[in-house]
Amino acid sequence: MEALVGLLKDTFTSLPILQVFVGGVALIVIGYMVIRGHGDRQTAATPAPAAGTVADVPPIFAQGPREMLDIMRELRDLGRRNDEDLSDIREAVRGLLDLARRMVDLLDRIEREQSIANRARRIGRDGA
Amino acid sequence: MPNRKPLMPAHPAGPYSTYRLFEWCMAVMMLLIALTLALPGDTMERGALKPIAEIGFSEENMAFFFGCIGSVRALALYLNGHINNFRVGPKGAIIRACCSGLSCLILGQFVAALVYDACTVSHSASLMIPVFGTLAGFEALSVYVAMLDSANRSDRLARALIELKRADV
Repeated sequence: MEALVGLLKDTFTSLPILQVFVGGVALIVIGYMVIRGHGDRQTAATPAPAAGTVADVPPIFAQGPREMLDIMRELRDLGRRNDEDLSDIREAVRGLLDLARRMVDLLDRIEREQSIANRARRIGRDGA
Repeated sequence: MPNRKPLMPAHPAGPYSTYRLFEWCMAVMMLLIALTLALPGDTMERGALKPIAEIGFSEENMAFFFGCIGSVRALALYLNGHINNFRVGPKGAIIRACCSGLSCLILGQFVAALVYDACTVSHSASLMIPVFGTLAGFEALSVYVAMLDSANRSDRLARALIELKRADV
């Protein structure tokens, strides 16, 4: 033990050399770990996905024809509902357009009335 | 080598989740170390880490380094939790691997400085040598774990497509 401690004390006398040595060893170990992990991740079996998550269920197209048909029917229903909503929206927009047209008509009539009134007043004033 | 046994099996909780507890521990520890170093007072000048502080890793640099690494690791660990869709790539795990490697290097430098101090200056071994040494070793192992987690998980969709192609006739 004494001899070992003496050897250690004799060895580790220069800090830069020790730092370079330790850094080199660490880099070698890290590089080995990176290469090893990179290699193992190719060969290691993919673990089963976590239970109760989206990943636990196979993709839709791999669930079989019955499930596929169900989902397509559901999509069709969704599309129909969407179409109904869209026609409602179309009706509402048409109503809004009508309203706007009527407003514009009203404004036009008001303008005409005003111009007629102005002209009448001017004529009356000039004549008097 | 197809029949080589991995150093550790993949975690059953799913991809990106192999043995994360040690990495969480290290991330939190680095953040706390950054906090400690950022507090007023010379933490590194007082201890045996003075040679490290002398070669440029001053207190502020050290706090900055540890804070960056710790927060990046914590963020990477938080962001890829149990994601297993084919859209998410393995970037988070690669970031984890890089941060583990950097922390392994710096902890190794700590151990070197402490060993030098024990051998030449104080002539008594510090208790921090085994602590930092073990942490450095297991950080090297967590590089392996992170690289194992960094597999591209688009394999599932690819497998499903292969099965689909095999199924139709």
